[in-house]
Amino acid sequence: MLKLALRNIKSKPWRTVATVLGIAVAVAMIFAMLSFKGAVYDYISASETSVAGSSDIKIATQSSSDRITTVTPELQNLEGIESIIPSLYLYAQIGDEYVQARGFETGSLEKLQNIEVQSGRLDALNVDDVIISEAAAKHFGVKVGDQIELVLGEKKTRVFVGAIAKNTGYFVDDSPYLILGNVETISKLVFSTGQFFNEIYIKVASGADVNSVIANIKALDAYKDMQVELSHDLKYIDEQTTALTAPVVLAGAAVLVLAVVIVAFLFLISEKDKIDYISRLRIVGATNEQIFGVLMIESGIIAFIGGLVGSALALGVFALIIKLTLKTMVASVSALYLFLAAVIGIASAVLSSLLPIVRGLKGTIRQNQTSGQKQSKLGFVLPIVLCALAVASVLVECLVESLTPYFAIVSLVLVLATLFTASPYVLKGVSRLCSKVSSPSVKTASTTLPREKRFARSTSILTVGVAISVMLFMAWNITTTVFDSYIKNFENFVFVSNIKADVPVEDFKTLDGVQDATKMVWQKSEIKGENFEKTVHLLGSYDTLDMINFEFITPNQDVKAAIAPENSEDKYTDKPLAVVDISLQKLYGAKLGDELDLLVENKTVKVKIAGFVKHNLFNGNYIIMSSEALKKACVEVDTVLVVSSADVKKTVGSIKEKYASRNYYVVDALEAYRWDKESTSAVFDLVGTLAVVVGVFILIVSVFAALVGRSGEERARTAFLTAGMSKNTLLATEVLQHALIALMAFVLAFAASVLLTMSLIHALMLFGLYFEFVYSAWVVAVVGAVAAVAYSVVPLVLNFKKNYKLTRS
Amino acid sequence: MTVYENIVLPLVLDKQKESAYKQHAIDVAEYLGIGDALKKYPSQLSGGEQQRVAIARALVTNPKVIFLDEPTGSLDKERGKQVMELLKTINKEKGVALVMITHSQAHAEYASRIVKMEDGLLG
Repeated sequence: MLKLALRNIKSKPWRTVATVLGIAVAVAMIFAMLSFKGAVYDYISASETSVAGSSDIKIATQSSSDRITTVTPELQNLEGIESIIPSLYLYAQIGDEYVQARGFETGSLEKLQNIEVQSGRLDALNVDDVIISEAAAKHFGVKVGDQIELVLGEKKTRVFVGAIAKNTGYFVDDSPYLILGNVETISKLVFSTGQFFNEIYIKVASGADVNSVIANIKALDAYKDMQVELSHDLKYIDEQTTALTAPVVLAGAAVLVLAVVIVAFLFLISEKDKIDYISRLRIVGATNEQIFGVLMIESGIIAFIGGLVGSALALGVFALIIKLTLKTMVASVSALYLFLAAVIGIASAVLSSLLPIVRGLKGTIRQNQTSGQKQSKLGFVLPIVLCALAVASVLVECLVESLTPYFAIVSLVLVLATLFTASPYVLKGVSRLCSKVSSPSVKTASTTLPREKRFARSTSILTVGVAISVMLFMAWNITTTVFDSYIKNFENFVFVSNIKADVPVEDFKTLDGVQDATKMVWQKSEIKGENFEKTVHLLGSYDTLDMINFEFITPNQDVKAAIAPENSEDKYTDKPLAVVDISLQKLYGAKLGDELDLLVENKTVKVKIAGFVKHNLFNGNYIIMSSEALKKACVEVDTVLVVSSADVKKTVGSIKEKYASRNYYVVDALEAYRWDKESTSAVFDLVGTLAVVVGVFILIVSVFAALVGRSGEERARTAFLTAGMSKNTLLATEVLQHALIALMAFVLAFAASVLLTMSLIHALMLFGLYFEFVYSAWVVAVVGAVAAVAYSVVPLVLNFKKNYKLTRS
Repeated sequence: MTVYENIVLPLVLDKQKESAYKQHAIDVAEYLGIGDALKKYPSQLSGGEQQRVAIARALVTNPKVIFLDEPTGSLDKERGKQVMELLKTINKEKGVALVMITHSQAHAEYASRIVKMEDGLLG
């Protein structure tokens, strides 16, 4: 039986290779989708933990203090502490550009993170040597031994590049660029002599409870007014990962199902051949068991090789994608996901191969020989039923708010299933119309298209494949629009931070080019409601409502009256009033008057919702309060937001010049946003690249599917040539067959893309994400057009004409 | 392709409009006794019927000459005789010249002129 199976495999080499590669591609697609979220989590985790490294606890000064902290003997003797690593962390400038400057004690450089040196030596560093990243060295055009001048206000210090490191560890979050050095040298940017710290990192001893250690530190006099907290906000890392990956994860689930269907399809293409083969084996006396054995061994070998090749392809392609996009990390591959992807691919292949075998064994020899091309009448009913169900699901999704996210998932499945089952029938209809044309190639193409099962299956695969590719690109589009609204609103803003709470804001209003200025709190905080917890941006100023173009869901005058400085508290409960995004209502059912816990600067403040507004800013993750309300809640207001009506760069320059002695950090909002965006833009690149790669995979498999079945139509092509059709006309016929399928797939996918995008956005509510409807028709048009053209030219590219020949039948 | 599509294929390749040739194709099929099989596929026909489809495809273009290469080669005696009778009728009623290659002496007897070829040489 093994010999027969191997002979079968060898007798159709191209079909075997195409099937193996098709399975391999499907396995690679499954692996990419399973591993995507983990890769993004690892990247964001590396980025968010780059500062605190392997520490467990961070002690930092409050914003209004003198910003100096020391390691006291009480802290050193505290139980449960393994090591204490103090550091100094500042923003300084090289020329006009802000950089992060970080200083550690001698010998403590690698206590939080390993440093991978690209050039220079860590053990040969002098006190005034610094370490910079490869990216920084390239940007500033420096090498080991070169001098750099660091400036902070009126203070300057000269340092030397002692080593250049890879963009790992501390340098993962290298935006702005990080300058790592000895604390003595960095301290010169603040005071002329001595060394100072403003952060202390603590590693907790093995077995000690971190929260108990935190409580014990807070109990010490020296640290009772400081921020003492966990070094890493794992919840924030989870939230960021979810926000960035949820759209792709949803589309990825569809890719997974499609991959399984593709594998099944590849085995069903050769159904007729298999049934013929079963008949011939029966004629020579083979038993059912023998026939089953031969065919299952054949399918098993092909499936297994496909799974192996797929695993290698998956590893190679995914590692390459990660290296190209998330440049700063080495891809950590989950062996479990690799195994799972291979198993799913192999199992799908083996199970799909059963269907033609069962059919062949069920029928008599005569039935198998003359089964002809009967169409199942039931097949027509299925797309109609699915379409009706899809319409019903979409209606419920749009009209019943409480069921929206759940029915969004149902709608996604039903719309895709409708596309899959209906597209061959739409192709039939289109072909019937085209058959009226008297051109031989058009007429022949349109007559043969509805007849051949391989075309029906190619149509289904390509239509759904294009639709899913569009979904992936839409996911990328949705992910990137999160930051676009920031740019639109903040291009005229300048941030001034590191100021004391008692600095008057009027000083800034008199500066040249400044239209307005307001003092506010702007920092990440957490809010907790009845059934949710999330990280938000606290916009602590009444003026925010005028500075940003919010859409007022609660009437404008009510909202402004509620959080006006003189009315910052609810007169009945004395709780500070806040305005939040409408997404809290949509996602969690929050209402006016609901109470929230706001955690900011280690304080928990109970606030009351006084109004809802709508804006894409920070994905709807913000809370607005007046600075007066925050002052009453003892939250220091220490950032000035300046609105410049003139040249933002010029305004930045004027403020820096006027306040040079005060060490303010002055940066235009878009520059600050760029620092934030740098770490996530890599994730956007990953999403975009993944969308392209999956799209290409889908196209490759659709082409394979068309090619694998083509060999069975040799006789028909010979008949055409015998009847007098020229080779060029026959080639044109094959191109038209592909083009009609491609065009139809494009049109159907385009039409469905609006519904699919809407359902994708609604389904994101299950992940705690709320987006307004975002649809970019150009994305759909480009994706669809590229796929359509690529599929259409396959007969030309693969030079089908070369193999046209007349043979005696 | 269906029987009908097989028959009209030369006309399609000639870019003729379907409205112009449809009835003619049906008439040819009925003349050859396969009028009821127009929607069937060749795999659903007997050997003799399949040959009639091939003849119909040749006849539908109103040719002056039809070349036949072993038209009865894969047929049994009875069906072979039916096809030869049909060819003879076509020759007589339609005035179409038939040039046929055959290894069967009995079928060669239907011709008005026989040319023998032996070892590549005409005898």
